[in-house]
This record gives sequence, structure tokens and C-alpha cells, in this order.
Amino acid sequence: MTVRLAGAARLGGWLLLATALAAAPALADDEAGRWLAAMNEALATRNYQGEFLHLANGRVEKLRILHRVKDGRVAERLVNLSGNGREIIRNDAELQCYLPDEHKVLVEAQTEVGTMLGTLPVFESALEANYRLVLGERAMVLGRPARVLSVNPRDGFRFGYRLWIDEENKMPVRTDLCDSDGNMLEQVLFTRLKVGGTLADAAFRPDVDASAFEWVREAGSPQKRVADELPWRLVQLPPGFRVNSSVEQRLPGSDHPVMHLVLSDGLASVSVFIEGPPAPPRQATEGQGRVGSAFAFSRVVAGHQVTAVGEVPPQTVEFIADGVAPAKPRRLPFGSPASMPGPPSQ
Amino acid sequence: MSDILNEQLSALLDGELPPEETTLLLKRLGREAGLAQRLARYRLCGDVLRGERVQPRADFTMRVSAAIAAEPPLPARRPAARRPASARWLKPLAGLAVAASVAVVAVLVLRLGPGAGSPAQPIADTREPQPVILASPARGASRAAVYPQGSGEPESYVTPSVRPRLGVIPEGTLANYVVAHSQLSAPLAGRSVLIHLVADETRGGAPAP
Repeated sequence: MTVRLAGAARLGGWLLLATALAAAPALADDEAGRWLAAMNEALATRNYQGEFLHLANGRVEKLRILHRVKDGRVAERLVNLSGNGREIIRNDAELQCYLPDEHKVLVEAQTEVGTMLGTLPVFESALEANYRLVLGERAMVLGRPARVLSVNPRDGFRFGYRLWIDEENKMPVRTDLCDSDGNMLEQVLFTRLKVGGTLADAAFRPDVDASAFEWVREAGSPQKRVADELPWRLVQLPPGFRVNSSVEQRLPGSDHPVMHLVLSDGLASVSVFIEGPPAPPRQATEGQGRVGSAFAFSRVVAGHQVTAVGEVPPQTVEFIADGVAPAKPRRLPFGSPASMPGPPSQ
Repeated sequence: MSDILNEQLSALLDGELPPEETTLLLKRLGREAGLAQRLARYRLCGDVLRGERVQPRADFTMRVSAAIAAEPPLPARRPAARRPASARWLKPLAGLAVAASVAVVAVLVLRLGPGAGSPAQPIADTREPQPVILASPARGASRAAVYPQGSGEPESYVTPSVRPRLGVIPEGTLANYVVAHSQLSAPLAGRSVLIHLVADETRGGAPAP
């Protein structure tokens, strides 16, 4: 009996070991997921102020960020310290983009409560189809220990990230945007960061006197979610991308409603804007655009200006924009990439 | 400045400077603001002399990236040092300044010229089939991950290429799109495009070669 018990114990031991080995990758993912969740929480709930370098396209610019959560209200401010004086100030009500070099202030109503510094979604199996998450070694950033987390894209339709997360305060003290080969495209690197403490209201006022600037506001009501059956659909999407939301809104300086669809693969986002008719005051465009590592592609479809914008490779926005087509209204489950709401054509 | 320094700068640009000298030179670049500018001029001169816009050599870029990350290794967890906050920040700042000044000339470019940024590589075969209804393949090579209806397997994996013939989206229009996009996009990406809007000139047009 003793022998049999011992055998059972050994067997149990092996089973435990086998179970542990089988679960090892999942546990690693879980740990990476916990780091991401902790980072999300830190970004969304903590007060912080810091300065960081933004490296991209051979340029380095220094920016300041301030983030405050007070009585459940979020205030954020992003300031360029490298000369052009541009600022973005955001509160619960609106986002103001100060462009002193153009004597303009763009104002958009705020709809989403988030954080300007950004968060990553919790790592899910769906995300895993398109990205591989690797929790790396400890490293020093800002003289403090951090964990390195790699989010590697599995194809050329999206970019990846490497994150250095401070072990103590869980802030992403360094973020690298990478292409599918792991080459760094841009980097955000904090040079100073203070987490906690209080921030006065005055800290969220712009440095510039913008009273003489042209204030370009949204023309109408902020945004409304559109009905589920409208005559647009996406006939091709890169793997993993789905329509997350769709709203009708008015962009600053325009009197015309714009259909705004947001597609995501769980990490990267692409917006598709569909305008008109009636045609906007400007001429229809077919072409490309770029703001940093965000790319845009615009084309005309059935008299509508269709523009895809996102921080994805240029091929991806072009591919998505190419797939926008008018379709007969029909009802499909919201969120299906096979169909999407579109603007009324009249 | 000395000829030796000039030679070192030249070797750095050519990716031929020994690692230990690279480390020292990067430190010096961080200390001397004028030196980074000089390095940038050298690089530009080299480009002009060669009559081309030369991409940075991968190894040089890699080493600059490594320099940015260069921090002393962390052998083991240690209790948080109780130093004044200013002292805690100042020390790493020196190293960061090195990295930043060098990175100016590192030109960590998006390699996105016509064809250059088209990773026409197979997509990993681990993804789930997407219920995407696909029309006939789009123009030219714009065809990717085609999933025939009723089939669980993709028919082909071709990352589309960018059409070279196109115009540009007007700057103001693009800025509006970017701001609107940032508000509803996944936060990390949204943050990044906002940073670009603040940090960089919004510019329409095809990606720089």
C-alpha cells in the first residue's frame, strides 16, 4: 500500500509538473497582461507631470505632459517645449489644440473619457492572433527599475510596441513604436516624471494668449451614434480589424456631417471618415497624408470623400479605404466587419 | 576640433567606429551641443557629395538605439534609494541627453519609400479566419489576406503596396481628421498622433522616401 501511495504521489507530482509546464506560456501572458493592466490603471487614475523626448523621423522634440484626476474628472495638457508652442489641453468637455504657428485653435467636443498618454487594452486571445506579447527583462530607465514588454505584430498591417514599465509606479517611462521587423519608428522617452501630488487648475491653462487666434470649433452637436442600417460597407479589411464604433459628427470648420467609423484590431486603430453629399466646400481629394507615424489615405467613392487615418502602415489605410463601398441598406450585427453603418446618402 | 575627432565622427557615420570608441564619442556628443550639430552637417555633406539621400546604416541606427537604452545593468532588486528627487532625475538626464543629441542625426526614419515599406511577407498562420466579405481583389497589388466565404483558410497573404501616383490631403483637413481620430482611437495610438500634431508639422503628402 505504501508503495502504491508513493507511486500515486509521484504520478500526481508528474501531473502537476506537466500541468505547470503546459500552463507556462499562459502564465507568462497573464503576467504580461497584469503589467499592461497595471500600466493602464496608473495612466488613467494617477496624477502625473513629466517631460519626455519624442524621437521620430530624425527629429527630437521635447514635450511636457500633465495629467490630473480630480473628483472623477480628467484634465490633461500636452505642451511642445521645442519651439512651435503647440499645446493640446483636454478636459471632460472638450479638446483644445493650440497652434500658435498658425494662429489657430482647433476645438472638438470631448466624448471619450480616456487618457492622452494612452493605455493598452488588456491582452486578450483575440489580440494574440495579431500580436505576440513578450515580457522581457528588467532594465533601468530614469535610474529606476522597469520591465520591458514587447508587443510584436505578426504581419505588416500594423505596428508594434516595446514598453518600459516602471516597476514601482507602473508608468510607461519609455515607449517604442516598431514596425513588423522590430525596427524602431519612433520613441517616447521620459526625462523626468513625477507621479502623485496635486496639480493646480492654473497648470492646465495655455502658455499662449490665444484671444486673437482664429477659433475653429465644431459646427454642431458633438456626435451621435448612427443607425445600424446604412448604405456603406467594408468589403476588405486586414486580418483582425473590426468596426468598433461609428458616429456621425461635424469636424471643426465644417458644416457637413461626417460619418466616423473606428476600426481596431485590439491595439491599433484606424478611423474611416465618409463625407457628403452635399460635397464639402473643399475639392474632392485622392491622395495620401501623414502626421508622424499616422498615415491617411483618401479617395472618392460614389461622390463621397472617404478617408482612412490611423497609426498603421500606409498600405493598411489604403487597403481599408479601398474597401469602402456603397451598399444596399441591410441589418447586420453591430461590430461585424462585413457591414457597417454609413451616412444617409440624402 | 582635432582631426582625430573628425575621423571619429566620420567613422561613426560609416558605422566603422569600434564599440568602445562609439560609447565615448556618444558621451561626448551629449556633453557638447555643437558636436551633434556638426555630426548632422557631416552626414548631410556626405549625402550631398554622394548625390543621394542616404539611409542611415542599420548598424549605426541600432547602436544609437542601444545607446539610448544604455543604462547600467540591473543585477538584482535593491531597495529604493532615498535620494532627493532632483538627484534621482538628474543622473539619468545626462545619459538621455547623450542619446537625444545623437538621435537627432540617427534619423530613425520610417522606411516608407515606394515599395520600401511593403513587407510582402507571409502573414503568420496562427490567426483566426475573419468573417470578412471580400470583393474582387483591389487594384494592382492591393490584395491581402483574402478569405473566401465558407472557407476557414485564407487564400493568399499579400500585403498591399502603396500607389505612387497620388496627391496629398490638404493640411487643415488632415489635422481635423487626426484630432477626431485620436479621440476615438485606441488610446496608445491616439496619444501618439496627438503628440505628432503638437510636436511636428502636420504635413500632407506621400511618406518621405
